[in-house]
Amino acid sequence: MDKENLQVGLERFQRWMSAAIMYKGTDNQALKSTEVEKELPWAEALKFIKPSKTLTQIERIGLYRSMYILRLVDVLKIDFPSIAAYLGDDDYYDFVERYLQVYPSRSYNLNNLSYDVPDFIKTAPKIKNRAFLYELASLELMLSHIFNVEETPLLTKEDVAAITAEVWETAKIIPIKAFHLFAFKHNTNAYLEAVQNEVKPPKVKKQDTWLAVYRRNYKLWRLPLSYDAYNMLSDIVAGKTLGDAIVNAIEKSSESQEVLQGQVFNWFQSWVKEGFFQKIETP
Amino acid sequence: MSKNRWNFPDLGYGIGLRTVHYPTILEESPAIDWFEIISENYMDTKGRPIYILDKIAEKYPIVMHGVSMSIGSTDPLDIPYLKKLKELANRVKALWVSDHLCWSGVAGTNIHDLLPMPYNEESLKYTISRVKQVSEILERPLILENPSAYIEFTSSDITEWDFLVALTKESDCGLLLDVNNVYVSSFNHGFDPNEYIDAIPSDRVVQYHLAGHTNKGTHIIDTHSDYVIDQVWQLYERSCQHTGGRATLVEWDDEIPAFEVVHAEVLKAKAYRKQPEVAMVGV
Repeated sequence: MDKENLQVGLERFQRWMSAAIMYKGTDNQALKSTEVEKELPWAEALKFIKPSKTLTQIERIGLYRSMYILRLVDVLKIDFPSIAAYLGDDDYYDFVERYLQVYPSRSYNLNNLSYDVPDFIKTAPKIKNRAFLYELASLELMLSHIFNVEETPLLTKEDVAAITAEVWETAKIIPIKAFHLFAFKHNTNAYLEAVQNEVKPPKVKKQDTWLAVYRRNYKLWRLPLSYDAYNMLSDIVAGKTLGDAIVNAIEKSSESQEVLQGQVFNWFQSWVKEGFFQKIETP
Repeated sequence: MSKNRWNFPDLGYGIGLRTVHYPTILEESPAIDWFEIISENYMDTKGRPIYILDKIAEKYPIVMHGVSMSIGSTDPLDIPYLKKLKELANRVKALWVSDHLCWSGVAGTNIHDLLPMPYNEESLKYTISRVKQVSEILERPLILENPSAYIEFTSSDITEWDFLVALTKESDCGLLLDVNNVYVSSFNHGFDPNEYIDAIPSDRVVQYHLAGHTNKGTHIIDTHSDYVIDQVWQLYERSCQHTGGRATLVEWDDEIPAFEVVHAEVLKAKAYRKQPEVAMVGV
């Protein structure tokens, strides 16, 4: 066989084995499915594989099929423990099987397998409590993302002290790279926290909640926010000046201007201490 | 005592670096000879994983072991992946870089398994060519591990050990001899593991892997979830009689016990790694 023929032969064989392993269904259904037989008819594939003394050809390929799904069920559970807890073992297994049919891994890195889970939840049929699960998956995915983002230098008290009073209004405060804000319509963070603490999760309910997710000293943190604090931080993250962020927060708030202005100083002190920011840019 | 072809050092007794052991390693700096990392776990992160690895690499020799090179795949080599691999090797001053004699996916998808290849002249030529390309890109010899397998192909007309002998010679690659894999495949395929061990050219062996497995009665799965069994220790001893011993590592990836337990397991290897017996001269 010349090299060209080998390439075709090997490729055809690998395409068949790959399709057979990834097919959702029983071993028999997989090997005789249109998708798999399109690569290699079962009768021909049978000739490729030797039975062992104890296992048939189907059982031997079945080992790879079962290990494939079990491995990826476990891998996704590392990134989405709350999704797994919410769905329960059987539904979670089915969820992962269906996910892999739409989003099979296309990366050498298993960490990248998680990226499309929120989108899958948004669009796949038969997802119960879709809106909540989408929020939960987005939060869990962001935690994984922030875990791997590069470290940025932190804003120090000295940096803050160096800013003169007259330029604060026009200053822009730059958050660290490992920072993200969420506005949820459910008690999403409370659910995740219960799963992390291995206690019974609360009943899922509709509730406006706001959250900052960030990393400090290579550890992940979550800080629940008030509506007003979230609004102000959102504007800061969007690159607005501190003055504009305060004005917008006041406009959106149900609190009086005096009360809110009083809170801003405390918030800012607390956020600097938490390590939300890396630097202050002045005009 | 024979040396390996490249004079790679005998690092002694190491274990696979796993996250559950980070606290012990960082806080207690245990007296272990070296660590092997799963390359892909540190390739796309700028967060805690690489931060921890940098700290560990300051104190211990590091060897890199990948799972996604897919050297036997008919897909083109993933050049960006190989470049990242090389960057990581340079960063942690890896003493060598290994992966598996297998394919992991085709047509752009990744099954994240170490799938066996048919062993014949054609696949041998194909693999030799790929190994040479990889070695050029990495600017170092590639070290390949013999896989554990649950399936055999009728198109194989060379034994796995003869395939490895030819591959290492023709492509000038090294061998990470996984003694447990030899045992697992010998059980699953019904060959004599001693014949395999005896056929391996000593000068190509750079490193040993040892691990536990799960015996299902009809077949063995390479789970890395238990202690090394006696038969595997005996094969290791037999191989050491040929090579004089090489850097030896225990892999434990499921139900991972405390650091001390895994370390103690690899230290058992000392007892099996005797000097070759001096032949008695007849009188």
